[in-house]
Amino acid sequence: MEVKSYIPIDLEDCLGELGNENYWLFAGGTDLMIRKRQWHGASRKFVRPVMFINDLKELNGIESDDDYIYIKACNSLAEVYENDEAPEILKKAIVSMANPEIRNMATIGGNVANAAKVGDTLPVLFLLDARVELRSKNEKRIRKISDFIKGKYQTDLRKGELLYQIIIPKKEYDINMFYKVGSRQGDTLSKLSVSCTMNIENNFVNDFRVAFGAINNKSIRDRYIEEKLINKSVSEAEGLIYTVLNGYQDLLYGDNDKRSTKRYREETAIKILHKFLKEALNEK
Amino acid sequence: MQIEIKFNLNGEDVSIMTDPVRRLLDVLREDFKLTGVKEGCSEGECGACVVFVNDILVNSCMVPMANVINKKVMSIEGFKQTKEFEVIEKGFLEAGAVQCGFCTPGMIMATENLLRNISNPSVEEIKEGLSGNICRCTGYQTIIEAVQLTVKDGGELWKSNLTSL
Repeated sequence: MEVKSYIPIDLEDCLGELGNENYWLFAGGTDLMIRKRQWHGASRKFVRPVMFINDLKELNGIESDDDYIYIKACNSLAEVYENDEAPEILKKAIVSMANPEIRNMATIGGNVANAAKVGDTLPVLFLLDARVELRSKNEKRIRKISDFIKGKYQTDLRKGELLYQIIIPKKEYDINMFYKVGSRQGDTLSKLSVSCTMNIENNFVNDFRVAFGAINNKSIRDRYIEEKLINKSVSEAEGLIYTVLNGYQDLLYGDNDKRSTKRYREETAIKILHKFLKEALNEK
Repeated sequence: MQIEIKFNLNGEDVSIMTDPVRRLLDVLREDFKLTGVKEGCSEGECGACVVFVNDILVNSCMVPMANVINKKVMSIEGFKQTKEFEVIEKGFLEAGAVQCGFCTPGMIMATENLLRNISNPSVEEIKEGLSGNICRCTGYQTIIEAVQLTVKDGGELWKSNLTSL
């Protein structure tokens, strides 16, 4: 069955039409073209009309000011990776995803709005305190990404809205790590991922962040646990490593599924964080 | 829903009535009979179907026709007309990097893409550059050697960023 397709001429046209029908928004297509496939030779199985937004000028490009970097939703992962101002930890996550050809097509907006449990940019964007700007015909609103993502394939996107851009506060992270565990080196989906940053100045931890991806249905970030190490001396922080690890252990609710087991995910994630903490605190 | 979609295919302006959701891969193989573009995994992992769209290497099995409107598409058949192809082909032949040949068009396109970005890649960079292409025959070693031979014999082509199509 062929469904209605709409190719807007600009963002105004797109937002106007979005209010009229319940469209699938189609950007790079790397998820939808696979998820909606049928047997060989058959057309994709879309049961709702489709709107193609990938080439809208207003949804492409990366800008910045003194405080923030603004990444429009339809930038490909490769374009974000190649941008000088994109945070290094985000680039580490991107280069771990899929393969060069897919990164040329897949969009950062798609990775966010899809809200897949294994979306690798999500935990990093949680860690970076990113926000999303949502636009509809008559409204613009900004939400923390941790509020926008509600669960596996669940977001706060309302009818008639689209994800316009991702806004990331500018900040230097002295030590940063994105560690992904998959079944192979390239072109793999996460069994789990651990993202960590730490800033140490004058022997005191002045910033520490952790986010876990692909374990719970929604990426995990807990400011309360992070604050246990902030403003502590390096030696005090070393003494609190197990308090921090135990805190996170209680937050992990992994599943057994085709990619891994609950036990492997949870134990491995904690071990990776433990290694990061030992190395980060010993480095200074 | 059928609409008229215009794009440039291997240097020639073309137009086709088709569903915008239809895959570029199917249009190239079925409508234009460009069967050098292969269908392998159908999910973006094997790289047998890669083409350049506006000089960006993509898996045509994941590209809907709506996303090529007014763009330049180059398949292996178009790339075959270039000087760069001749040098890569020679490298693949000399290294014995072709066995069944199914992955070869994709490997050649990915090699071109790699050399456009890094004119003298290391082994690690070759592996990363070809990481979206699967070969089940060669074990990859001869393909890596083919890229190295290509660079040795004709690397100047990419250093000057010439595109001869």
